[in-house]
Amino acid sequence: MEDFQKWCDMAVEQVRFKPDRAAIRKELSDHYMDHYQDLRRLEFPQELAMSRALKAMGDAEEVGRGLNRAHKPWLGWLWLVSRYLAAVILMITVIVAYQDGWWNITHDVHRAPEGDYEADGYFYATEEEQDDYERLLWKKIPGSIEAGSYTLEVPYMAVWQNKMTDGTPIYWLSMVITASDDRFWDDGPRMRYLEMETSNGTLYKGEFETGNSEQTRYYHCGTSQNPFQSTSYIGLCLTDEQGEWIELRNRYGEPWNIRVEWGEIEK
Amino acid sequence: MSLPKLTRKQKVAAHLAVIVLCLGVMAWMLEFPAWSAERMLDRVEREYFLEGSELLFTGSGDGSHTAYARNGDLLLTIMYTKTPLGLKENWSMIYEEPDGIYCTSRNFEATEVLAFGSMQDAVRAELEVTLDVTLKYQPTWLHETYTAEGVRVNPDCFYFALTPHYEVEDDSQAAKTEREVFAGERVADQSDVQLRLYDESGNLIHAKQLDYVETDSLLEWPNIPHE
Repeated sequence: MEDFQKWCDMAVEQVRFKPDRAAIRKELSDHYMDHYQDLRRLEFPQELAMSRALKAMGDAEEVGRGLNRAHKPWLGWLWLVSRYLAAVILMITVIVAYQDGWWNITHDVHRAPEGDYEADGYFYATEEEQDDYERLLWKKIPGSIEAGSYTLEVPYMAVWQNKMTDGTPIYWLSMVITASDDRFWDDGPRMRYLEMETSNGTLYKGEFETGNSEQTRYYHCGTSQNPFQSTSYIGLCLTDEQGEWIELRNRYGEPWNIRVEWGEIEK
Repeated sequence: MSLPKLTRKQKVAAHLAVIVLCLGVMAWMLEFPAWSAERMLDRVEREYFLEGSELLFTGSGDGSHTAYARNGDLLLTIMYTKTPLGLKENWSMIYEEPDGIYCTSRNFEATEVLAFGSMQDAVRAELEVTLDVTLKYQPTWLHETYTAEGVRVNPDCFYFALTPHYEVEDDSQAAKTEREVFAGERVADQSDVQLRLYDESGNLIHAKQLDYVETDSLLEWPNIPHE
């Protein structure tokens, strides 16, 4: 047995990828022991069985060189590193999923109702509040504009009316703006710094603007997204009737605007 | 049923496939984080239809971070978190300032103020704030004007900390009120806020008048050097 250990040491020393040496040693030992046991079953004396089995193993250095060719170090290291890396990254992914809650991923400030807003009549806030309002007019605005890296469209715009307790009418405007681009990793444009002007001369600005009164404030009610399109829901309480037109403008950076003539809109 | 025995090359390929899949899933879960603050700023400016923004500096707090940037007379702040795959933007704001300088405070009394933006030419900076505490049908409890010397944080930023005027032993109404204001126990009204910038020769190169300093507790400030 001592001779076999020496033979084994000599053979595995030829294998440059050290992490495999233990497994190779075990495999060689199993092979040697199988042969030895077979010879013993044929009633070979122990010493003779050992020496015959050892002889059958061949030249240690030559066997070792063959094993070294089969166990390439670069592939061995790549396999080992990739195994641990995969385990670590898998673990981090699970932790991230647990912490972030993949089931809870949302980009929304206030998610607007899903579904076909054109048919349902996208409003804002609760369904109960919506019941108090009557939709006066709505339309899909035809065409699109190119703004920055986005293609902007207004697929839905509507004016709603409600009456205060003293009978004074109040108007709510709801608008859906979609922005499409091919950058699936981007969030889509922010609609917080727009400016809306009506033909009545009233200027509405975003709710985060300083010095902006509540009466002339529009609300970015939320955004829903898919990889190539983000949909922003905007609402504002009109100070007066809708007038003849409303123009939506970008305040900062590249100028763009969308003008809607109410006269074109079917009631 | 046993799994097919794979060769080492196949195992490596399987590991790499798992790595790529996990990274993809993780990137999606983290909303595709940016690799650097500059790349994050690129994205934010695209979202606001801007171009040519310049990253000024960043500040870090307890797990959250803020990037400060400039685009002409617009100043931007981007709140973000660090993730294993990069920087994830949480919120961003734009401030339009004709002089390209924005002042922000952590508290309503502006006892600590950060001014950032176009301040490279200034060698010295001063902030003056008047604080008032007046209760209905009561005499004025506090009416004091404080001047704070700016601490240079970086070429684009100064930090100001107001110091109380009254001694700790003073038990006058004004002194008590001031202590309450500085402890954050009482809200004071700000007025006549003035930021003054000076050059090497001590000449006033810019003065900015504000009604009050905006408060934003979400912003993480840069490290303030000790005087």
